[in-house]
Amino acid sequence: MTTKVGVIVFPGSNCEQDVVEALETVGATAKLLWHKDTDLGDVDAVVLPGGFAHGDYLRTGAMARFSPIMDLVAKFAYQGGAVVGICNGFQILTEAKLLPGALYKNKGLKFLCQPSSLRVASSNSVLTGHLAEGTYLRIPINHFEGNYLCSPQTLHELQENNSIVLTYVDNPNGSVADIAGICNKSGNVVGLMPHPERAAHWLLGSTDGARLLKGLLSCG
Amino acid sequence: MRSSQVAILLTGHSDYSQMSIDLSQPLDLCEFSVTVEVRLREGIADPEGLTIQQALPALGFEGVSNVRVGKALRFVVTAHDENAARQQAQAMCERFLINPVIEDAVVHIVALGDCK
Repeated sequence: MTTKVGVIVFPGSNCEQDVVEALETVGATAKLLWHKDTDLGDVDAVVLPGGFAHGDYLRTGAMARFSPIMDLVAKFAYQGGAVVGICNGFQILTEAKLLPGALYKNKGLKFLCQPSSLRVASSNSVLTGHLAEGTYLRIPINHFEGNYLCSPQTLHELQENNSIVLTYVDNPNGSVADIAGICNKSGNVVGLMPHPERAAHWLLGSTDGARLLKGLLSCG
Repeated sequence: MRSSQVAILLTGHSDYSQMSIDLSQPLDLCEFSVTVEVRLREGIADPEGLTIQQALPALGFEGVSNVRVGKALRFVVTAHDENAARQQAQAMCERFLINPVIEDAVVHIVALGDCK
């Protein structure tokens, strides 16, 4: 059965079409959902794409977490549905407390738009269940607020639960423990700063993002 | 402007001696000017503050340390008293205005007009 993925569009999202394209490239079907929708439909997974939801006013993700669809996303996540937040989507998931910690300004105060080398640190997530721990991936980052922060206790829990999904080989933004992506305890909610949809075709210089997104095919 | 004054103006009443409102007594609702100072929590690195701090000596400002960059939000709350206004502002902080993982807030309140 084909996996159906809902890609949520907030005012200010700008990666949704790329995500749809990449998902279709790996064999899923994708449909756009509007942030005011009151029904997720029959989707098997939900992706919160990158961009600047609600202009990133107040804080990144702070407004978006109160968009009407987020109640449905939270319910879907608590029922075990796969929820993936990419970049701004990751920031929204932390603000919504579906994932712990927060994302703050990059250590060097520069907007970073560059390829990044990543290591799969856990196969305990819906995105990495099919990849061996220690696998290296090359996927671009594109953010100003990607510096992952959390309390020492939260970091300990992430490590204990094998919830650190991706780490940077060369930490570009100051994230604690080189974190590029995390998941919740059960692995169905994942947030990552790199953009897998931008590494989904050889013309883009890497297909490692497609390798990650293929993880969602197991949700169908 | 106090709510009772608004009511008087709206009715266009010209003979105040006929009004039953006693303006010498505290009124039900008052306006409070609220400033929420959002700060990075202690111990969280502030690269922006550090950059500013490092720039100051070059401009001749010596002896400046602990530069921290935050933001301020200003708004007016209508409430029965200052305590109620403060509680409302603090609830707004907890729910929305700050992210407690990285930020905390100081709430400053000034009554507008002759509110108590």
